[in-house]
Amino acid sequence: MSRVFIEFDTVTKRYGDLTVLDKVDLTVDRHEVVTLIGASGSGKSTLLRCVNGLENIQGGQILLNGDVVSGEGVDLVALRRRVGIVFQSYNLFPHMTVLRNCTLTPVRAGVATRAEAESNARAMLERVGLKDKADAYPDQLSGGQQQRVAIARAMLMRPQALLLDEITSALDPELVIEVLNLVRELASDGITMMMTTHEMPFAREISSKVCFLHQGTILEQGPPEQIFDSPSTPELRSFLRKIHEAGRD
Amino acid sequence: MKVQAPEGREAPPAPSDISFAPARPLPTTAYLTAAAILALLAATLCYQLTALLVTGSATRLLLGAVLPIAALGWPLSLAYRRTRQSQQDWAARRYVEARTAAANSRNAAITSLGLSGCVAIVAVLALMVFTNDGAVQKTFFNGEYMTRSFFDILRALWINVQIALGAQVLAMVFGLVLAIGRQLPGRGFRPVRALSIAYIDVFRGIPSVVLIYLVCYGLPLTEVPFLSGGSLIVYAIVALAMTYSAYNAELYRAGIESINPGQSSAALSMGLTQTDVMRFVILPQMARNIAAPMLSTFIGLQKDTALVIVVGIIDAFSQAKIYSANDFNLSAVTAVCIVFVLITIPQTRFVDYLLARNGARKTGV
Repeated sequence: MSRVFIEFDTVTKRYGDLTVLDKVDLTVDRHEVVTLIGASGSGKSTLLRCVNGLENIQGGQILLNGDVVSGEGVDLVALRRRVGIVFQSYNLFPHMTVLRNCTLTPVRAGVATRAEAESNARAMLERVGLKDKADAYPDQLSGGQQQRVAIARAMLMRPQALLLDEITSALDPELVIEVLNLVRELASDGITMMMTTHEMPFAREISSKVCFLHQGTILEQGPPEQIFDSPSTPELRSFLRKIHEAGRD
Repeated sequence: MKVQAPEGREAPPAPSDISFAPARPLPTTAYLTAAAILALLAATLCYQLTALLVTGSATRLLLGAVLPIAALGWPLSLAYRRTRQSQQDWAARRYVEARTAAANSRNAAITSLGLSGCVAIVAVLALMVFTNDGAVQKTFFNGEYMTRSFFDILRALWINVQIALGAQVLAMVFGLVLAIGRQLPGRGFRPVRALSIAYIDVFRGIPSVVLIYLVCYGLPLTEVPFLSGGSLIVYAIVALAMTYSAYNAELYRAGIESINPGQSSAALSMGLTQTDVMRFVILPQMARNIAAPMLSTFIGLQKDTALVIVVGIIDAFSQAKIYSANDFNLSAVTAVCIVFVLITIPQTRFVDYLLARNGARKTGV
């Protein structure tokens, strides 16, 4: 079993004439946490959304566990059951209870009976600290609680990798910590993770690799100490300075 | 002129003081004038109306002049007194009080305008009904003709109900098929998309009455097996469903597009199939958004069932027309109007109730 789990091979993504990702090369090892940082519009989210086929790519290929998962002929439903994603805007289904949000896919995908799915979901909700919210509707929850439900919902499909797309950006500052604690716990359990974030101290603490994206290319990548303490490109230095001035580091 | 300062405060400077220019009260003259003119008009109309309806000159004076003047004059005089009050306050340098009184005067004038306007409109309508020795009333609202035809009309209304329900069910199902058909993704579905769009374009454009005529008279003539054997009512249902499925398709499309794309991204990302995303995530949320406009279309369909008169089906309107032709009087047809209105009102309240209940549950009340 190879160590590499997700591999981007000269991945290029265009919207019409606009090149969003330009020949991106990146590998994510098993049990590794890779963080993408960069300004808005640098292509971080797009890169994540390419992994589970929410965006198609125009050049290069993406491999998951050695098998190509980009381009034509990929079973996207099967792929997405292996790679979970959590969004900035939670995207819980507002017309379903928390429990039903969590059991819908396992039941429909046939990986669990309704009873199993419900007991799994209740166990997972207990783990994310929301045991008593199983019968609530999403808009009765705070942002932090909704985001924890979204993470639980993704984890219940037992994905091999989890993509986190700026999952704390829509949260009030005092709610960020509860979500980050949960992510920290999942990472220590050893799930492979790719995430984009603006929480630099968290990125430094949790990541095994940090990539700096600038205008659709990875300008620098390496261990967090290298990226944050000795940036080598002027673009990354400028980005980190702005983050510092905003008080976010 | 020595001005008395309001208690506990120093008198503010005079309006003429250049360094202090208090905001003037809202002008009220135009409101007062308009309210007075409309009140006068309404009172006159009331007096005219009583001339048609009552004979005794004392009663006429009481009902036609004293009562309307008292009822309409009250808010008008209130508005006038408040304007006076405002002027006095202003002269006494009580600027805040002056502005409040002017605003209150305007509100009273608006109340007066609304009241007089309603009275005037009702009086004009009543004048039209009772004028010419009650000709309008006898033609449209003759109680005897209405009650005589009423039960036959109700019985015939069952035909309209059957046609409306049948066509609505078909149109809701087929409309959804069209809406989904026109937004299937990918190159392979291009012919399906084109066909759906073509259908919607064509059948939304054909007048329902023409389609009913063509289908009901045309299909039996063609002697196509199976298709030509149905009853006239079934053909009418099919014809109306053909038109209304095109309307409904557009409604569904708007409803589907009203759902945040994040919802289907999230649902797809969890590994649901396209069909499941539609069935469990998009359609339930869409149903809530389109309930009210869907009811409007359904009411439109209910009214269009009266068009089957062109192919000789005896529905409520057709039945009423027979009565009115025999009676040389339109009261039976007015009764049809009343019946149609009466059946739509509970439906509207029902959808209001559904939406309110959903809203309440969503906010956890």
